[in-house]
Amino acid sequence: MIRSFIKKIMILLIVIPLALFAERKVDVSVDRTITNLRTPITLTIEFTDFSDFPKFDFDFGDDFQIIGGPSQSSNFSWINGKTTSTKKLTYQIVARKTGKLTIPSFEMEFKGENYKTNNINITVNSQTQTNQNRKSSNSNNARQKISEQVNEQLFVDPICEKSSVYLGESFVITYRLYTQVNIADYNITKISSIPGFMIEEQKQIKNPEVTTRIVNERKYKTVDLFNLILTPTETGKLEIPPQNVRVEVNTQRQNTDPFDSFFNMSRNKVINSIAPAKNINVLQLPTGEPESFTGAVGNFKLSVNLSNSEIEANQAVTLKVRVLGEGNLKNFTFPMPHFPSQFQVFEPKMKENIGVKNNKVVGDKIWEYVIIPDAKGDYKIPPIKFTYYDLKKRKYTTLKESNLRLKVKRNEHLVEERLKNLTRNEVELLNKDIRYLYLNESKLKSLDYSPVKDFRNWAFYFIGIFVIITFFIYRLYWHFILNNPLIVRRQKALTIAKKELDQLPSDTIKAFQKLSVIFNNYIADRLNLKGGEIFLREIVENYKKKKIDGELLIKIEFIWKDMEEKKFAPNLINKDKLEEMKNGILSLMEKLEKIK
Amino acid sequence: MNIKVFKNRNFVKYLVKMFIIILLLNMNIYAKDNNYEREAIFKKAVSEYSKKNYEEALNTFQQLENTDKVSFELLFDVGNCYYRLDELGEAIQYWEKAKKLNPSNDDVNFNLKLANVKLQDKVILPKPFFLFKYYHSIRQNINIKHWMNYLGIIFLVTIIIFIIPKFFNNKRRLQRKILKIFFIPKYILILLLIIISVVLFDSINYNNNNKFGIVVVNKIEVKTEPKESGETSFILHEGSKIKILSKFNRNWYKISYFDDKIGWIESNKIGEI
Repeated sequence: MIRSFIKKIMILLIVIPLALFAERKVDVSVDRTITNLRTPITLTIEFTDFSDFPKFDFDFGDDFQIIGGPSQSSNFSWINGKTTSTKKLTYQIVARKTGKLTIPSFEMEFKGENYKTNNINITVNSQTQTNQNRKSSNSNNARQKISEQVNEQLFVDPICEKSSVYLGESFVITYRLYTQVNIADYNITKISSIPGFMIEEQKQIKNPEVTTRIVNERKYKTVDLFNLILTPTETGKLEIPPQNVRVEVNTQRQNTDPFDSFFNMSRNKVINSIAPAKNINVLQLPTGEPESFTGAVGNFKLSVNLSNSEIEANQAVTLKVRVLGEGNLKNFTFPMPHFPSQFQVFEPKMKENIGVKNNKVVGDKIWEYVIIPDAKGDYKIPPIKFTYYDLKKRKYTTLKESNLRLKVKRNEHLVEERLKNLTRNEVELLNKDIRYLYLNESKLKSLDYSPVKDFRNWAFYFIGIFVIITFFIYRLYWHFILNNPLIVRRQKALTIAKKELDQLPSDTIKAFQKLSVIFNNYIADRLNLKGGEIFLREIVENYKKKKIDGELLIKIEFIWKDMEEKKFAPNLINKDKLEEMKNGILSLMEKLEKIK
Repeated sequence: MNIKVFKNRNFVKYLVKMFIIILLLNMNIYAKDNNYEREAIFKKAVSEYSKKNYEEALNTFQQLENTDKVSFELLFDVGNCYYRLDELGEAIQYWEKAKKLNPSNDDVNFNLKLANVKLQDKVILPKPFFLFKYYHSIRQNINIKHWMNYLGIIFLVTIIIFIIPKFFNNKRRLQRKILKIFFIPKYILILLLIIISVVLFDSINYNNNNKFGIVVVNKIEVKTEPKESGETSFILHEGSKIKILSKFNRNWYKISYFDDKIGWIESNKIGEI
């Protein structure tokens, strides 16, 4: 046990210093320096005495493209006490153009030290040149020989009918295999992305048809391997990069070795055949596209139908919109139709059936809109429009379906359901009918009638305010009158006179004297004259100023003179005469009262 | 003041003259419009309605509506026509318009009650305190015109009650008797005057500051902002009564539903009351 432990320690003590002082190096190698556009190059980066793969980044620019790898391998050897640790990274690359190209050197850092690789020059010839050069190639590797030989007899080409397409226009690239050898099997690498394009589909052709074609005066069997449906997402000159196709070929060794030929007549060999890059010019669509354009490019037809043209409210109906034709079917959606607000519309369910026929993307797309109308009515669905860019006419074309009508009836079941939520009173009310019409109009009012603006509604307030104002004016007026003795004297003249006339003494002479005083006082009060002796002339002048009736003036003069006469002959007065005089005076006073 | 002064004939005559003038003015204004042509159109519409030609009846009624003047009966009948044509939103709109002219009319209140049962949108609000409930009911159903007149009469009577005793300053005993009779009615009238004034002015204020509308389309999406692409805040159905808060661009109204939900609505989808 102890001995074994010491042995392990000893080994470690020997190995660790060797590892520490081992010289780290990075080598880059390729399996060929002369190649063509269809033959992949195996690039191997070998790290000697690295405990781990260092991080590095290399850039081939536009010259080469990685089509496979990296695959990792590591090797540890101990030969004659010398330990060597080797790690390898292997890439499959392919040249993207012909000529003399260089795999540039690249730098990496590992544990504080910098390492740099060498440049490798590669000569890339066209296919024919390689064939010629092959004879002069001094490669002694038998396997490589077979590969080159097979590569010459087998190649894959991308076939595309169009060299320029519109943005959004789907097109098909068919990868066609040309072969003079027997193919056992082939394997297509799944293409994950192509810059500037959207890969709609990579479709392997099942049961491909074998045809014979002549290329460069040589006869080839051709097979279409797969279709690549692409839609450009950018404009300009875009490149579809080289694609690697693994083909298993059945090779027959032309070997002189009878032993070998006896046991092994034929072998299968896996060949990586490169389909070269393809350039496509992507054009911008013209401006001024209609509102209903959602990116469809090609040639399409539109069909729209309703699953039912007459339904009950709150029942579903399906509006089926079908777009069929050729073009970028995968790459557009249908513009949302404008439905009436009474419709509840769900997100459409989409079905598509897209394929490739004669190198064109064809098929149809169906959108199913489930519609639930809320209320009854006869609805006209607004025109359903679809616009695409017609590649043949080179302009935008709008398809329209405008004759869709949907009749929605009352949903009796729903009405019953609603009734369940009503109170008893409400249900009773529902069974009643509305009140009948009014048969005649009464009062007409303007449309913007407002009772506040109608002054008639303020009539009582006006009257009330008028009464208040009048009352105060009245009070003020009488306050003024009562405080003016002259006016009071004038106003009260008749009242006082009448009162005194009622209280005449029974004696005729005294009564006459009193009557005379009453009349005298009345006239003095009315004309605002000083009491005592009044002259007829004075009275007449005053009344003349007031422009009284002449008859009245004569009557005053007559009564006045009559009384003057009777003063000197009181015996002439009897009771009848007194009464007559009294009435005459009273009548005169009432007439004079009217004179202001 | 002297009782004899009160008997001043000239003043009394003057007062009587003024009363007669005011009354005659009113009588003249209240006189019914003798528009026979209008009457004939109205009768034709009624006859079409009774023959169940509701659309024809509606068109005929609308000829009258298009003139400057309308009547409660016309608006009520137009509402009935819309109801018969199954246009519940318009029916409610016209009955509400009629109710504005005659809020206490039993027929219009019954029709509105019946129509409201048929509405899809129902909001059950918590029951308010009974006094508030009565007050809101009074405020909404009060006939402003009638109540203005009642208030005017009370105002006038109160003034007269205050003035009359002033004329009996010379007859103290009679004056005391009158004051005694008028004592309680005077204070009742003052109280009535105050209460009716408050309710009436609040009601006028409520009617002037609140504009209402009725949804006249089957269904409407109330948006959060005044544009078609705006997010839907809530959905209203035909006949729902909404309060118009403000107007934007003539095409959009800011509305509230039961003072709870607020949003924007296209103006052509509601009928203003």
